Amino acid sequence: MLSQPPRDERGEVIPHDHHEINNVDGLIRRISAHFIVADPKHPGGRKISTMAMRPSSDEDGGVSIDLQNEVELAGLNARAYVTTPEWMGSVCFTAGQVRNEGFKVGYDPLRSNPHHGQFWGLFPKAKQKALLRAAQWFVEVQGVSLHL
Amino acid sequence: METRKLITSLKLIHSQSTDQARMTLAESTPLWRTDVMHQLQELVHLQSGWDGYQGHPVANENAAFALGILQATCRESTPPPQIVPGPAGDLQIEWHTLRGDVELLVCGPNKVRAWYCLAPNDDGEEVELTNNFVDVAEWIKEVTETEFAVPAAA
Repeated sequence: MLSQPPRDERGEVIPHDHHEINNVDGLIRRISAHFIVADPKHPGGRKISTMAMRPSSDEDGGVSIDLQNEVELAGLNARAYVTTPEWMGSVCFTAGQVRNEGFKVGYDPLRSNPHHGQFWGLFPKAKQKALLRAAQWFVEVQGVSLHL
Repeated sequence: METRKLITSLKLIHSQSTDQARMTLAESTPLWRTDVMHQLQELVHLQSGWDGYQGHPVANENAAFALGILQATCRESTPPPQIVPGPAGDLQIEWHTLRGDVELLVCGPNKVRAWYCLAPNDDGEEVELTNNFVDVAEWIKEVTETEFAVPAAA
């Protein structure tokens, strides 16, 4: 289990790069149906919107993820953990891929999701598109292409 | 959400009577408006956690501002955009065609990040906007208007 992340005086996790999250560790990002858009340029005519790589706020907010190692160390099936009828699919990167784009990758356990993490940084359109190019399907949404 | 009446065209109707023509003002609703209203209504009523994490429904003020942007930039024949929610009550208005892409991220009223790209593997152009969307109207027109028929060769 990861050591506890740094927190501010309100108990909120501070953006950080967790030294115990290794570069080869998997980061899973759930893909809501609301993130799927039509684009005739993509095979199958559908793709994931750049909004799937939008942080939770422009202040200290990051992009929420599930830490694959933490899920599996808890004895859970990672694909089942991140999938319900509501969250039809998910993509994954390695922590190293996300760090290579200039982001900090950290741990942010929640009562509702003890294996929750975030990655923080700047999210101009070019970075959002780079993250989508780096992503691979973890739970694939049929008919939705990740890459051109 | 309040909607504003839009009068976008005049219909001139000539009566069959011999001496007079009648003019009628007719209210014309753009093709995209009904679709956009439906999308916005759905997004402001999203459940918290809709994204699998801590996502909030789209904020009413952001939905209203988005509608205002579209009223200012879209023509009657502009195809409806796709509207994608963000985790913080924000939203993104998107058009993707074979000609290119336009994405308008509404972070809040008068706080918009607009992005436009014609080449698929290009990073495009990204600008921060408040309430002047003149350039955006041109981008939308360029990306969404249908191509004119190629004239027959002589």
